[in-house]
Amino acid sequence: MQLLRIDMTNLTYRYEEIPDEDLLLGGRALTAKIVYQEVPPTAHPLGPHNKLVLANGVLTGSMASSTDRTSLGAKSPLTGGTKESNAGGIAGLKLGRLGLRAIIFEGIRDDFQVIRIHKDGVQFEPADPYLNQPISQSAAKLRARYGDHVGLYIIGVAGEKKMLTAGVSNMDKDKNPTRFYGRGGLGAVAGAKGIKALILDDTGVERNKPRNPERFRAALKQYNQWLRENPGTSKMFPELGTMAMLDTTQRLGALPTRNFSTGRFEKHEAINAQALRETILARGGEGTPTHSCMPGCVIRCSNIYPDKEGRQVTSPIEYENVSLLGSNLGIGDLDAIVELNRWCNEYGVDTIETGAAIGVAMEAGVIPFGDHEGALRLLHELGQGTPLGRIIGAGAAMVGKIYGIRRVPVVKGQAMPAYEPRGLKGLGVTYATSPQGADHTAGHTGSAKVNHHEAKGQVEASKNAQINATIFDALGICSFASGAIAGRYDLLAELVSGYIGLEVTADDIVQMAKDTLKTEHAFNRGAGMTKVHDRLPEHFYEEVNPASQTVFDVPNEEMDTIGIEGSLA
Amino acid sequence: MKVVVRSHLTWRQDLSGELHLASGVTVGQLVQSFNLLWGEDAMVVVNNQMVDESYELQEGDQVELLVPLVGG
Ligand code: SF4
Repeated sequence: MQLLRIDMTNLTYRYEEIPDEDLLLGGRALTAKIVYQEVPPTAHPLGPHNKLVLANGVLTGSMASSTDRTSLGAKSPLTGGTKESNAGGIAGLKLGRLGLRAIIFEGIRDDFQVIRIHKDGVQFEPADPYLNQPISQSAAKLRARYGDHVGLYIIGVAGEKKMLTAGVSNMDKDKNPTRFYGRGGLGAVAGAKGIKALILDDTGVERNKPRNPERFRAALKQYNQWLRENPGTSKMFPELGTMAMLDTTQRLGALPTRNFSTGRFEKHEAINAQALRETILARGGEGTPTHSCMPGCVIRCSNIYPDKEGRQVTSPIEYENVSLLGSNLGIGDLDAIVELNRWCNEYGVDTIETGAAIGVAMEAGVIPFGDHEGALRLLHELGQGTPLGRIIGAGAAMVGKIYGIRRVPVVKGQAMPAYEPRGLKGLGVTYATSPQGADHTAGHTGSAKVNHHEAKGQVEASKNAQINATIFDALGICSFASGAIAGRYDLLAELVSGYIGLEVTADDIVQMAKDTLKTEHAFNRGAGMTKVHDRLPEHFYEEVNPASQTVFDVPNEEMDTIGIEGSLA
Repeated sequence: MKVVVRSHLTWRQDLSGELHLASGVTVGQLVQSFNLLWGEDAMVVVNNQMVDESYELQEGDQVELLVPLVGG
């Protein structure tokens, strides 16, 4: 297994061997380590000393269900700390087939390049024909140029303009370029390095094989059985997708509504899982309520949303997007939300950050809540790079600063995802204490045995969830498998041992996750973060969420035990 | 004692309906009797309130089984 280093300033590259003993480091564990070891924490995120690291999970390419995720890491221009964002799709599979565990991009440049990696090396070509256009258009041109079989990473105009909301996308198994490494503004880091697109051409290479096939197969059998037996992975996600969360958060008073001012949305029935499913089924055509982002995923949480004529609009429509671009903006119309989602994908921005930014702009009175045409206009301004568009494209915290708004749902500069932290307090703890900034995937406490409206037990729940999430992110396993697999680390150790051919125990895996969290916190300390940054915005502590009738009251001292100066650091 | 159960779990619609229970039964025991893991297979609210597993059910309680929050 190799690591590829690409110098974007000089357009040169070199391969490095990864010693066998490092093969347990993948995904988030690997990006965190490389960022910590190679990026000065004081580096400017868009400057020459930052590095962008793409790393496959340990199991990525193994063909076990839902394990083909890849991580992207760098110092984040949004949070100022270390960042990891991961996605499914097919590019990880191609990266693995090319014998690569990771790629490190170094240096910066002013123009944009397409980088093609194939079995014999790396080629660079000017990216001018693909600039300043919707991602679907540039991705189609790239496929026409480089072949329909390639894997693809790509940034949109937001990344070209180095906006803090910019993400990086890759394709799902049906070639939709809509699987985003959305969080933390990593698309801007790619833009600063002049990376418009990365083409992974696996022509002439064999698929990856487990090093100990019998052991791997035996573990895989059990893994598949658990995925089949768990109602979440076998019934809920295939039928309803992540949208199944919406009725539950609505009930808990944890559905972000109108800039997180409350946790219930009066029009929720127009935008919930049932409404989505019925709309997709009634319209038929290219739409489907059950779809997978990568080959072999049995969970299939994804979907394809069709227009009234049955033509595909975009894929997937997920809970996060419907909340941040819907209830959070007071918009209760699925077609309108999907249109916003589509343009976020086309411009290459994080739906969460962008939805939160527009929510703050609505609070500021730039446009009223519920104004979906106004929201779409703002999004198009972002795409055109007008001054107002650039303000939205700079994320929720910046919009709040520029318009003098104090109720801004961010931690460490990054917008909260679709769980209102007074209605689901464990998530509030994760938002506050994770080295990643406000991020539900950094430690989801939704299935913890706690009363989500009370402070008691939330810190412990978040701590366990943060370790669990780090394991999934490092191994490349989709977090939606966690309902069936979480805590069953012995099985994961068997899968990993069989795949990479090393003797790995459950303890090793847990230790690897803990080491990763420590590394991330250490980087953030070097970047100037303290426990002051491990707090929610003050209004969440003082103003009642009318839906849950709660304030956020987990004591700071208790949160500090797992924050930047606590036991996980 | 009568309680009303409403299941939002599309795969367990059979659980919705009225139930007659002996007094002293906790909501945790009820959920266990459905063969569901608390928090993992279902999130439970009673009379629109979050409750602990140890909550003792009362006459007329409305128990809702919500889709568990496992990410998204
Ligand atoms: S569960 Fe969903 S996001 Fe995860 S791998 Fe499967 S289709 Fe992709």
